[in-house]
Amino acid sequence: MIRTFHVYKSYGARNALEDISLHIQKGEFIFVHGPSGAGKTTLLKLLYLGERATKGQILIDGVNLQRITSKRLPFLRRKIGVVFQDFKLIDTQTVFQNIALPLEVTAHDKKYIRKKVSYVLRMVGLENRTNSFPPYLSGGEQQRIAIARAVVNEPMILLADEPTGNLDAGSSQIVLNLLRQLHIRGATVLIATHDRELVSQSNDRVIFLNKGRIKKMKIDD
Amino acid sequence: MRISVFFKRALQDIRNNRFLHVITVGTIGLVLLIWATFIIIFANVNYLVGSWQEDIRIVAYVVKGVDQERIDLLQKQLRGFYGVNEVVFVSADEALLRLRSQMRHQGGVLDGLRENPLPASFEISLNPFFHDQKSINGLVDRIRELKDIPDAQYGQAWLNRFLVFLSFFKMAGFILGGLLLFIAIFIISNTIKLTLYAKREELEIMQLVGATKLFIKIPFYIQGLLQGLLGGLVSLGILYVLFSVFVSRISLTELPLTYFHVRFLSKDLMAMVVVLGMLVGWFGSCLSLKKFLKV
Repeated sequence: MIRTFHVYKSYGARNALEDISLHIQKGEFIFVHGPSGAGKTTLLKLLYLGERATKGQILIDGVNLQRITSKRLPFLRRKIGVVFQDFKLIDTQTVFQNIALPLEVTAHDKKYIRKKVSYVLRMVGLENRTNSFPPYLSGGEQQRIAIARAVVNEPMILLADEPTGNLDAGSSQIVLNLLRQLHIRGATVLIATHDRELVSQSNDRVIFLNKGRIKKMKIDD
Repeated sequence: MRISVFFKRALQDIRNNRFLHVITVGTIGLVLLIWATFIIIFANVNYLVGSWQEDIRIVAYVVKGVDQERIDLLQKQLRGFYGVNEVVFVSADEALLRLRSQMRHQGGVLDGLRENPLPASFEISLNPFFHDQKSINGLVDRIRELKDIPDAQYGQAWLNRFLVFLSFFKMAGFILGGLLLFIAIFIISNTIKLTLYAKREELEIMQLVGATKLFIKIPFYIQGLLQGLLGGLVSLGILYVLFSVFVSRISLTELPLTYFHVRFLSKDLMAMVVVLGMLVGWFGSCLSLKKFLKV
Protein backbone atom coordinates (compact mmCIF):
# COMPACT_ATOMS: atom_id res chain seq x y z
CA MET A 1 0.00 0.00 0.00
CA ILE A 2 2.77 2.44 1.02
CA ARG A 3 6.43 2.04 0.04
CA THR A 4 9.25 4.49 0.45
CA PHE A 5 12.75 4.01 -0.99
CA HIS A 6 15.68 5.94 0.48
CA VAL A 7 13.63 9.07 1.03
CA TYR A 8 15.30 12.33 2.09
CA LYS A 9 13.74 15.65 2.96
CA SER A 10 15.93 18.70 3.45
CA TYR A 11 15.17 22.27 4.47
CA GLY A 12 18.25 24.17 3.35
CA ALA A 13 21.28 22.38 4.79
CA ARG A 14 19.27 20.56 7.47
CA ASN A 15 17.97 17.06 6.78
CA ALA A 16 14.52 16.54 8.32
CA LEU A 17 14.43 12.97 7.02
CA GLU A 18 17.31 10.74 5.95
CA ASP A 19 17.25 7.49 4.05
CA ILE A 20 13.72 6.41 4.98
CA SER A 21 12.74 3.07 3.45
CA LEU A 22 9.42 1.57 4.51
CA HIS A 23 6.92 -1.00 3.41
CA ILE A 24 3.46 -0.72 4.91
CA GLN A 25 0.98 -3.43 3.98
CA LYS A 26 -2.67 -2.88 3.17
CA GLY A 27 -4.78 -2.99 6.33
CA GLU A 28 -1.90 -2.43 8.75
CA PHE A 29 -2.20 -0.38 11.93
CA ILE A 30 1.13 1.24 12.53
CA PHE A 31 2.69 3.82 14.83
CA VAL A 32 5.48 6.24 13.92
CA HIS A 33 7.04 7.14 17.24
CA GLY A 34 9.80 9.52 18.25
CA PRO A 35 10.54 12.70 20.17
CA SER A 36 9.56 16.17 18.95
CA GLY A 37 11.58 17.13 15.87
CA ALA A 38 12.24 13.49 14.92
CA GLY A 39 10.59 13.96 11.53
CA LYS A 40 7.21 12.27 12.14
CA THR A 41 5.11 15.14 10.81
CA THR A 42 7.47 15.58 7.86
CA LEU A 43 7.07 11.91 6.95
CA LEU A 44 3.29 12.23 7.01
CA LYS A 45 3.48 15.42 4.93
CA LEU A 46 5.44 13.57 2.28
CA LEU A 47 2.82 10.80 2.25
CA TYR A 48 -0.15 13.12 1.70
CA LEU A 49 1.96 15.32 -0.59
CA GLY A 50 1.79 18.38 1.58
CA GLU A 51 5.43 18.55 0.52
CA ARG A 52 7.61 16.69 -1.95
CA ALA A 53 10.63 14.57 -0.98
CA THR A 54 14.04 16.00 -1.80
CA LYS A 55 15.35 12.60 -2.84
CA GLY A 56 14.04 9.05 -3.08
CA GLN A 57 10.78 7.50 -4.22
CA ILE A 58 7.39 7.11 -2.54
CA LEU A 59 4.72 4.77 -3.88
CA ILE A 60 1.13 4.89 -2.67
CA ASP A 61 -1.27 2.34 -4.09
CA GLY A 62 1.13 1.96 -7.02
CA VAL A 63 1.37 5.71 -7.75
CA ASN A 64 4.80 7.28 -7.66
CA LEU A 65 4.43 10.54 -5.73
CA GLN A 66 7.58 12.01 -7.20
CA ARG A 67 6.09 11.83 -10.68
CA ILE A 68 2.44 12.63 -10.01
CA THR A 69 1.09 15.62 -11.95
CA SER A 70 -0.74 18.44 -10.18
CA LYS A 71 -3.87 17.42 -12.11
CA ARG A 72 -3.88 13.89 -10.69
CA LEU A 73 -2.89 14.95 -7.19
CA PRO A 74 -6.44 15.75 -5.91
CA PHE A 75 -7.61 12.28 -6.96
CA LEU A 76 -4.82 10.62 -4.98
CA ARG A 77 -5.56 12.79 -1.95
CA ARG A 78 -9.14 11.54 -1.96
CA LYS A 79 -7.76 8.08 -1.14
CA ILE A 80 -5.97 9.44 1.91
CA GLY A 81 -7.68 10.80 5.01
CA VAL A 82 -5.56 13.04 7.19
CA VAL A 83 -6.08 13.99 10.83
CA PHE A 84 -3.88 17.00 11.46
CA GLN A 85 -2.20 17.82 14.73
CA ASP A 86 -3.79 21.27 14.70
CA PHE A 87 -7.10 19.80 13.38
CA LYS A 88 -7.25 22.24 10.42
CA LEU A 89 -10.99 22.85 10.73
CA ILE A 90 -12.57 25.81 8.97
CA ASP A 91 -13.70 28.11 11.77
CA THR A 92 -16.27 29.98 9.68
CA GLN A 93 -18.08 26.80 8.70
CA THR A 94 -20.30 24.57 10.82
CA VAL A 95 -19.34 21.08 11.92
CA PHE A 96 -21.64 19.73 9.21
CA GLN A 97 -20.02 21.87 6.49
CA ASN A 98 -16.51 20.91 7.64
CA ILE A 99 -17.25 17.21 7.47
CA ALA A 100 -19.19 17.51 4.21
CA LEU A 101 -16.25 19.17 2.41
CA PRO A 102 -14.50 15.98 1.16
CA LEU A 103 -17.85 14.75 -0.18
CA GLU A 104 -18.66 18.05 -1.87
CA VAL A 105 -15.37 18.05 -3.76
CA THR A 106 -16.21 14.60 -5.07
CA ALA A 107 -19.59 15.87 -6.31
CA HIS A 108 -21.87 13.68 -4.20
CA ASP A 109 -25.51 14.72 -4.05
CA LYS A 110 -27.04 16.58 -1.13
CA LYS A 111 -29.04 13.66 0.20
CA TYR A 112 -26.05 11.32 0.27
CA ILE A 113 -23.90 13.98 1.93
CA ARG A 114 -26.50 14.58 4.65
CA LYS A 115 -26.83 10.87 5.33
CA LYS A 116 -23.09 10.22 5.38
CA VAL A 117 -22.25 13.20 7.58
CA SER A 118 -24.95 12.21 10.09
CA TYR A 119 -23.54 8.69 10.13
CA VAL A 120 -19.94 9.73 10.88
CA LEU A 121 -21.14 12.27 13.45
CA ARG A 122 -22.95 9.45 15.26
CA MET A 123 -19.82 7.34 14.96
CA VAL A 124 -17.70 9.99 16.69
CA GLY A 125 -20.49 10.69 19.16
CA LEU A 126 -21.10 14.31 18.21
CA GLU A 127 -24.45 14.18 16.43
CA ASN A 128 -25.72 16.97 18.70
CA ARG A 129 -22.98 19.35 17.43
CA THR A 130 -24.00 19.44 13.75
CA ASN A 131 -24.57 23.18 13.59
CA SER A 132 -21.84 24.30 15.99
CA PHE A 133 -18.77 26.16 14.84
CA PRO A 134 -15.32 24.66 15.65
CA PRO A 135 -14.13 27.47 17.95
CA TYR A 136 -17.02 26.64 20.30
CA LEU A 137 -15.96 23.00 20.70
CA SER A 138 -13.49 21.48 23.15
CA GLY A 139 -10.10 20.14 21.95
CA GLY A 140 -11.33 16.55 22.14
CA GLU A 141 -14.48 17.39 20.19
CA GLN A 142 -12.49 19.21 17.51
CA GLN A 143 -10.20 16.20 17.21
CA ARG A 144 -13.18 13.91 16.72
CA ILE A 145 -14.61 16.27 14.08
CA ALA A 146 -11.23 16.17 12.32
CA ILE A 147 -11.38 12.35 12.37
CA ALA A 148 -14.95 12.41 11.07
CA ARG A 149 -13.86 14.62 8.16
CA ALA A 150 -10.87 12.38 7.44
CA VAL A 151 -12.98 9.23 7.19
CA VAL A 152 -16.24 10.49 5.70
CA ASN A 153 -15.28 9.50 2.16
CA GLU A 154 -13.92 6.14 3.30
CA PRO A 155 -10.26 6.57 2.39
CA MET A 156 -7.94 3.60 1.90
CA ILE A 157 -5.29 5.20 4.08
CA LEU A 158 -5.71 7.21 7.26
CA LEU A 159 -2.81 9.33 8.46
CA ALA A 160 -3.13 10.81 11.95
CA ASP A 161 -0.59 13.29 13.28
CA GLU A 162 -0.51 13.29 17.10
CA PRO A 163 -4.22 12.53 17.29
CA THR A 164 -4.12 12.36 21.09
CA GLY A 165 -1.47 15.04 21.55
CA ASN A 166 -3.62 17.70 23.24
CA LEU A 167 -6.21 15.48 24.83
CA ASP A 168 -6.86 14.18 28.33
CA ALA A 169 -6.71 10.44 28.99
CA GLY A 170 -10.45 9.91 28.48
CA SER A 171 -10.60 11.77 25.16
CA SER A 172 -7.41 10.03 23.99
CA GLN A 173 -9.00 6.65 24.54
CA ILE A 174 -12.13 7.64 22.60
CA VAL A 175 -10.03 8.87 19.68
CA LEU A 176 -7.83 5.77 19.68
CA ASN A 177 -10.88 3.51 19.74
CA LEU A 178 -12.27 5.40 16.75
CA LEU A 179 -9.07 4.85 14.80
CA ARG A 180 -9.16 1.14 15.74
CA GLN A 181 -12.76 0.91 14.43
CA LEU A 182 -11.71 2.41 11.11
CA HIS A 183 -8.85 -0.05 10.90
CA ILE A 184 -11.24 -2.95 11.48
CA ARG A 185 -13.30 -1.64 8.56
CA GLY A 186 -10.31 -2.06 6.29
CA ALA A 187 -8.37 1.21 6.35
CA THR A 188 -4.59 1.27 6.58
CA VAL A 189 -3.90 3.47 9.61
CA LEU A 190 -0.64 5.27 10.31
CA ILE A 191 -0.39 7.25 13.54
CA ALA A 192 2.46 9.62 14.33
CA THR A 193 2.86 10.10 18.07
CA HIS A 194 5.41 11.01 20.72
CA ASP A 195 3.25 9.37 23.43
CA ARG A 196 5.39 6.46 24.69
CA GLU A 197 2.55 5.03 26.78
CA LEU A 198 0.25 4.85 23.78
CA VAL A 199 2.85 2.91 21.81
CA SER A 200 3.89 0.59 24.63
CA GLN A 201 0.28 -0.51 25.23
CA SER A 202 -0.09 -1.63 21.65
CA ASN A 203 0.92 -4.83 19.90
CA ASP A 204 1.12 -3.12 16.51
CA ARG A 205 4.18 -2.37 14.47
CA VAL A 206 6.06 0.74 15.58
CA ILE A 207 8.59 2.70 13.57
CA PHE A 208 10.97 4.61 15.83
CA LEU A 209 12.26 7.84 14.34
CA ASN A 210 15.03 9.99 15.75
CA LYS A 211 16.73 12.97 14.13
CA GLY A 212 15.13 12.11 10.80
CA ARG A 213 16.34 8.47 10.71
CA ILE A 214 14.64 5.16 11.43
CA LYS A 215 16.26 3.82 14.57
CA LYS A 216 14.42 0.55 14.93
CA MET A 217 11.14 -1.18 14.28
CA LYS A 218 9.06 -3.08 16.79
CA ILE A 219 7.79 -6.24 15.04
CA ASP A 220 9.80 -6.58 11.90
CA ASP A 221 8.75 -5.68 8.39
CA MET B 1 -20.26 18.90 -10.34
CA ARG B 2 -23.36 20.59 -8.95
CA ILE B 3 -23.50 24.26 -9.84
CA SER B 4 -25.59 25.01 -6.72
CA VAL B 5 -22.60 24.08 -4.53
CA PHE B 6 -20.48 26.69 -6.30
CA PHE B 7 -23.18 29.35 -6.06
CA LYS B 8 -23.64 28.58 -2.38
CA ARG B 9 -19.92 28.94 -1.77
CA ALA B 10 -19.71 32.15 -3.83
CA LEU B 11 -22.68 33.73 -2.02
CA GLN B 12 -21.42 32.63 1.38
CA ASP B 13 -18.09 34.24 0.63
CA ILE B 14 -19.78 37.46 -0.49
CA ARG B 15 -21.73 37.50 2.79
CA ASN B 16 -18.55 36.95 4.82
CA ASN B 17 -16.64 39.71 3.00
CA ARG B 18 -19.44 42.20 2.38
CA PHE B 19 -17.32 45.32 2.63
CA LEU B 20 -14.73 44.15 0.08
CA HIS B 21 -17.45 43.10 -2.32
CA VAL B 22 -19.32 46.39 -2.00
CA ILE B 23 -16.08 48.22 -2.86
CA THR B 24 -15.56 46.01 -5.91
CA VAL B 25 -19.13 46.41 -7.14
CA GLY B 26 -18.83 50.19 -6.57
CA THR B 27 -15.58 50.34 -8.57
CA ILE B 28 -17.02 48.38 -11.48
CA GLY B 29 -20.19 50.47 -11.30
CA LEU B 30 -18.24 53.73 -11.40
CA VAL B 31 -16.06 52.67 -14.31
CA LEU B 32 -19.05 51.40 -16.25
CA LEU B 33 -20.95 54.60 -15.50
CA ILE B 34 -18.17 56.62 -17.14
CA TRP B 35 -18.11 54.16 -20.02
CA ALA B 36 -21.88 54.22 -20.43
CA THR B 37 -21.87 58.04 -20.33
CA PHE B 38 -19.41 58.09 -23.22
CA ILE B 39 -21.49 55.53 -25.08
CA ILE B 40 -24.71 57.49 -24.59
CA ILE B 41 -23.01 60.66 -25.90
CA PHE B 42 -21.54 58.79 -28.90
CA ALA B 43 -24.82 57.12 -29.68
CA ASN B 44 -26.76 60.40 -29.60
CA VAL B 45 -24.16 62.38 -31.52
CA ASN B 46 -23.97 59.62 -34.13
CA TYR B 47 -27.72 59.66 -34.39
CA LEU B 48 -27.68 63.44 -34.73
CA VAL B 49 -24.97 63.39 -37.39
CA GLY B 50 -26.83 60.62 -39.18
CA SER B 51 -30.01 62.67 -39.27
CA TRP B 52 -28.06 65.71 -40.47
CA GLN B 53 -26.45 63.69 -43.18
CA GLU B 54 -29.84 62.32 -44.23
CA ASP B 55 -31.14 65.88 -44.47
CA ILE B 56 -28.17 67.19 -46.43
CA ARG B 57 -29.30 69.32 -49.33
CA ILE B 58 -27.10 70.84 -51.91
CA VAL B 59 -28.06 74.34 -52.94
CA ALA B 60 -26.99 75.18 -56.51
CA TYR B 61 -27.26 78.90 -57.31
CA VAL B 62 -28.34 80.04 -60.74
CA VAL B 63 -27.05 83.18 -62.49
CA LYS B 64 -29.51 86.01 -62.99
CA GLY B 65 -31.52 86.35 -66.16
CA VAL B 66 -31.71 82.66 -67.13
CA ASP B 67 -34.89 81.80 -69.00
CA GLN B 68 -37.40 79.10 -68.13
CA GLU B 69 -36.25 76.77 -70.89
CA ARG B 70 -32.69 76.81 -69.55
CA ILE B 71 -33.98 76.27 -65.99
CA ASP B 72 -35.95 73.20 -67.12
CA LEU B 73 -32.88 71.87 -68.88
CA LEU B 74 -30.67 72.38 -65.81
CA GLN B 75 -33.27 70.71 -63.59
CA LYS B 76 -33.33 67.73 -65.94
CA GLN B 77 -29.53 67.55 -65.96
CA LEU B 78 -29.35 67.73 -62.16
CA ARG B 79 -31.96 64.97 -61.79
CA GLY B 80 -29.79 62.81 -64.02
CA PHE B 81 -26.82 62.91 -61.63
CA TYR B 82 -26.14 59.76 -59.63
CA GLY B 83 -27.26 60.05 -56.02
CA VAL B 84 -29.75 62.85 -56.61
CA ASN B 85 -33.23 62.19 -55.30
CA GLU B 86 -35.21 65.39 -55.83
CA VAL B 87 -34.50 68.74 -57.43
CA VAL B 88 -36.69 71.70 -56.54
CA PHE B 89 -36.32 75.09 -58.23
CA VAL B 90 -36.57 78.09 -55.91
CA SER B 91 -36.98 81.33 -57.78
CA ALA B 92 -35.39 84.56 -56.54
CA ASP B 93 -38.82 85.89 -55.48
CA GLU B 94 -39.63 82.72 -53.58
CA ALA B 95 -36.23 82.87 -51.86
CA LEU B 96 -36.91 86.42 -50.72
CA LEU B 97 -40.35 85.41 -49.50
CA ARG B 98 -38.85 82.63 -47.40
CA LEU B 99 -36.25 85.01 -45.98
CA ARG B 100 -38.95 87.51 -45.05
CA SER B 101 -40.90 84.77 -43.30
CA GLN B 102 -37.80 83.61 -41.37
CA MET B 103 -36.96 87.19 -40.37
CA ARG B 104 -40.49 88.24 -39.50
CA HIS B 105 -39.43 89.09 -35.94
CA GLN B 106 -36.73 91.40 -37.19
CA GLY B 107 -39.41 93.66 -38.64
CA GLY B 108 -38.48 95.97 -41.45
CA VAL B 109 -34.88 94.91 -42.10
CA LEU B 110 -35.77 93.82 -45.61
CA ASP B 111 -38.30 96.61 -46.27
CA GLY B 112 -35.83 99.05 -47.71
CA LEU B 113 -34.70 96.75 -50.49
CA ARG B 114 -35.34 98.15 -53.96
CA GLU B 115 -34.14 95.10 -55.74
CA ASN B 116 -34.15 91.40 -54.79
CA PRO B 117 -30.50 90.57 -53.95
CA LEU B 118 -31.07 86.83 -53.74
CA PRO B 119 -30.29 84.50 -56.62
CA ALA B 120 -32.58 81.72 -57.82
CA SER B 121 -31.43 78.27 -56.85
CA PHE B 122 -32.00 74.53 -57.04
CA GLU B 123 -32.46 72.61 -53.80
CA ILE B 124 -31.11 69.15 -54.38
CA SER B 125 -31.94 66.35 -51.92
CA LEU B 126 -29.93 63.15 -52.00
CA ASN B 127 -30.72 59.46 -51.98
CA PRO B 128 -30.55 57.83 -48.51
CA PHE B 129 -27.54 55.70 -49.50
CA PHE B 130 -25.62 58.69 -50.86
CA HIS B 131 -24.18 60.26 -47.73
CA ASP B 132 -20.48 59.78 -47.62
CA GLN B 133 -18.29 62.81 -47.74
CA LYS B 134 -16.34 61.86 -50.83
CA SER B 135 -19.37 61.18 -53.03
CA ILE B 136 -21.08 64.41 -51.96
CA ASN B 137 -17.92 66.43 -52.71
CA GLY B 138 -17.69 64.79 -56.13
CA LEU B 139 -21.33 65.59 -56.88
CA VAL B 140 -20.91 69.22 -55.78
CA ASP B 141 -17.86 69.57 -58.06
CA ARG B 142 -19.81 68.22 -61.01
CA ILE B 143 -22.72 70.58 -60.33
CA ARG B 144 -20.32 73.51 -60.17
CA GLU B 145 -19.05 72.60 -63.63
CA LEU B 146 -22.51 73.17 -65.12
CA LYS B 147 -22.98 76.33 -67.14
CA ASP B 148 -25.09 79.04 -65.44
CA ILE B 149 -24.40 77.54 -62.01
CA PRO B 150 -21.66 79.64 -60.43
CA ASP B 151 -21.69 77.92 -57.06
CA ALA B 152 -23.09 75.00 -55.11
CA GLN B 153 -22.90 74.53 -51.31
CA TYR B 154 -23.96 72.14 -48.63
CA GLY B 155 -22.36 73.47 -45.47
CA GLN B 156 -19.56 70.92 -45.64
CA ALA B 157 -16.95 72.98 -43.84
CA TRP B 158 -18.61 72.99 -40.43
CA LEU B 159 -19.79 69.41 -40.81
CA ASN B 160 -16.20 68.35 -41.60
CA ARG B 161 -14.94 70.23 -38.57
CA PHE B 162 -17.57 68.59 -36.47
CA LEU B 163 -16.69 65.12 -37.76
CA VAL B 164 -12.99 65.73 -36.99
CA PHE B 165 -13.93 66.81 -33.48
CA LEU B 166 -16.14 63.75 -33.15
CA SER B 167 -13.39 61.32 -34.16
CA PHE B 168 -11.02 63.02 -31.69
CA PHE B 169 -13.66 62.69 -29.00
CA LYS B 170 -14.11 59.02 -29.86
CA MET B 171 -10.39 58.36 -29.67
CA ALA B 172 -10.12 60.13 -26.31
CA GLY B 173 -13.08 58.07 -25.12
CA PHE B 174 -11.44 54.82 -26.15
CA ILE B 175 -8.14 55.69 -24.47
CA LEU B 176 -9.82 56.84 -21.27
CA GLY B 177 -12.18 53.87 -21.33
CA GLY B 178 -9.29 51.44 -21.79
CA LEU B 179 -7.41 53.01 -18.89
CA LEU B 180 -10.46 52.85 -16.67
CA LEU B 181 -11.05 49.20 -17.52
CA PHE B 182 -7.43 48.44 -16.70
CA ILE B 183 -7.80 50.18 -13.33
CA ALA B 184 -11.05 48.32 -12.63
CA ILE B 185 -9.46 44.94 -13.41
CA PHE B 186 -6.51 45.83 -11.18
CA ILE B 187 -8.76 46.77 -8.27
CA ILE B 188 -10.95 43.70 -8.67
CA SER B 189 -8.01 41.32 -8.84
CA ASN B 190 -6.58 42.91 -5.70
CA THR B 191 -9.86 42.70 -3.83
CA ILE B 192 -10.12 39.03 -4.71
CA LYS B 193 -6.50 38.56 -3.67
CA LEU B 194 -7.40 40.01 -0.26
CA THR B 195 -10.29 37.55 0.00
CA LEU B 196 -7.99 34.72 -1.05
CA TYR B 197 -5.42 35.77 1.50
CA ALA B 198 -8.04 35.77 4.24
CA LYS B 199 -9.13 32.32 3.12
CA ARG B 200 -5.70 30.81 2.54
CA GLU B 201 -6.08 28.19 5.30
CA GLU B 202 -9.46 27.18 4.00
CA LEU B 203 -8.05 26.87 0.47
CA GLU B 204 -5.19 24.72 1.80
CA ILE B 205 -7.66 22.46 3.61
CA MET B 206 -9.77 22.17 0.47
CA GLN B 207 -6.73 21.09 -1.51
CA LEU B 208 -5.74 18.58 1.17
CA VAL B 209 -9.14 16.89 1.12
CA GLY B 210 -8.88 16.46 -2.64
CA ALA B 211 -10.48 19.55 -4.17
CA THR B 212 -9.33 20.22 -7.72
CA LYS B 213 -8.14 23.70 -8.63
CA LEU B 214 -11.25 24.16 -10.73
CA PHE B 215 -13.46 23.34 -7.74
CA ILE B 216 -11.68 26.07 -5.78
CA LYS B 217 -11.71 28.56 -8.65
CA ILE B 218 -15.32 28.32 -9.86
CA PRO B 219 -16.90 30.13 -6.85
CA PHE B 220 -14.44 32.99 -7.41
CA TYR B 221 -15.35 33.15 -11.10
CA ILE B 222 -19.00 33.29 -10.06
CA GLN B 223 -18.18 36.09 -7.60
CA GLY B 224 -16.42 38.06 -10.37
CA LEU B 225 -19.35 37.59 -12.75
CA LEU B 226 -21.88 38.57 -10.08
CA GLN B 227 -19.86 41.64 -9.12
CA GLY B 228 -19.72 42.64 -12.79
CA LEU B 229 -23.45 42.06 -13.22
CA LEU B 230 -24.30 44.13 -10.15
CA GLY B 231 -21.79 46.83 -11.14
CA GLY B 232 -23.37 46.99 -14.61
CA LEU B 233 -26.91 47.27 -13.23
CA VAL B 234 -25.87 49.91 -10.69
CA SER B 235 -24.18 51.99 -13.40
CA LEU B 236 -27.23 51.76 -15.68
CA GLY B 237 -29.50 52.75 -12.79
CA ILE B 238 -27.43 55.81 -11.93
CA LEU B 239 -27.08 56.72 -15.60
CA TYR B 240 -30.83 56.52 -16.07
CA VAL B 241 -31.44 58.87 -13.16
CA LEU B 242 -28.83 61.35 -14.46
CA PHE B 243 -30.26 61.05 -17.97
CA SER B 244 -33.80 61.76 -16.78
CA VAL B 245 -32.61 64.85 -14.89
CA PHE B 246 -30.69 66.04 -17.98
CA VAL B 247 -33.64 65.51 -20.32
CA SER B 248 -36.06 67.31 -17.98
CA ARG B 249 -33.61 70.25 -17.76
CA ILE B 250 -33.05 70.65 -21.51
CA SER B 251 -36.75 70.44 -22.21
CA LEU B 252 -37.13 73.56 -20.05
CA THR B 253 -34.56 75.50 -22.08
CA GLU B 254 -34.81 77.04 -25.55
CA LEU B 255 -31.70 75.24 -26.75
CA PRO B 256 -31.76 74.00 -30.34
CA LEU B 257 -31.23 70.52 -28.81
CA THR B 258 -34.96 70.41 -28.22
CA TYR B 259 -35.43 69.74 -31.96
CA PHE B 260 -33.57 66.52 -31.41
CA HIS B 261 -34.95 63.68 -29.38
CA VAL B 262 -32.20 62.63 -26.91
CA ARG B 263 -32.23 58.88 -26.46
CA PHE B 264 -31.19 56.58 -23.63
CA LEU B 265 -29.05 53.54 -24.40
CA SER B 266 -30.70 50.94 -26.61
CA LYS B 267 -31.35 47.45 -25.18
CA ASP B 268 -28.30 46.14 -27.04
CA LEU B 269 -26.03 48.82 -25.59
CA MET B 270 -27.40 48.25 -22.09
CA ALA B 271 -26.72 44.54 -22.47
CA MET B 272 -23.24 45.42 -23.72
CA VAL B 273 -22.53 47.51 -20.59
CA VAL B 274 -23.65 44.66 -18.32
CA VAL B 275 -21.69 42.03 -20.29
CA LEU B 276 -18.63 44.29 -20.22
CA GLY B 277 -18.97 44.51 -16.42
CA MET B 278 -19.22 40.73 -16.14
CA LEU B 279 -16.16 40.29 -18.35
CA VAL B 280 -14.19 42.77 -16.25
CA GLY B 281 -15.23 40.95 -13.05
CA TRP B 282 -14.38 37.56 -14.47
CA PHE B 283 -11.04 38.69 -15.85
CA GLY B 284 -10.15 40.27 -12.49
CA SER B 285 -10.87 36.93 -10.78
CA CYS B 286 -8.81 34.97 -13.32
CA LEU B 287 -5.84 37.26 -12.82
CA SER B 288 -5.75 36.98 -9.04
CA LEU B 289 -6.42 33.23 -8.97
CA LYS B 290 -3.67 32.58 -11.48
CA LYS B 291 -1.17 34.33 -9.24
CA PHE B 292 -2.53 33.01 -5.94
CA LEU B 293 -2.97 29.33 -6.76
CA LYS B 294 0.52 29.15 -8.25
CA VAL B 295 1.80 28.73 -4.70
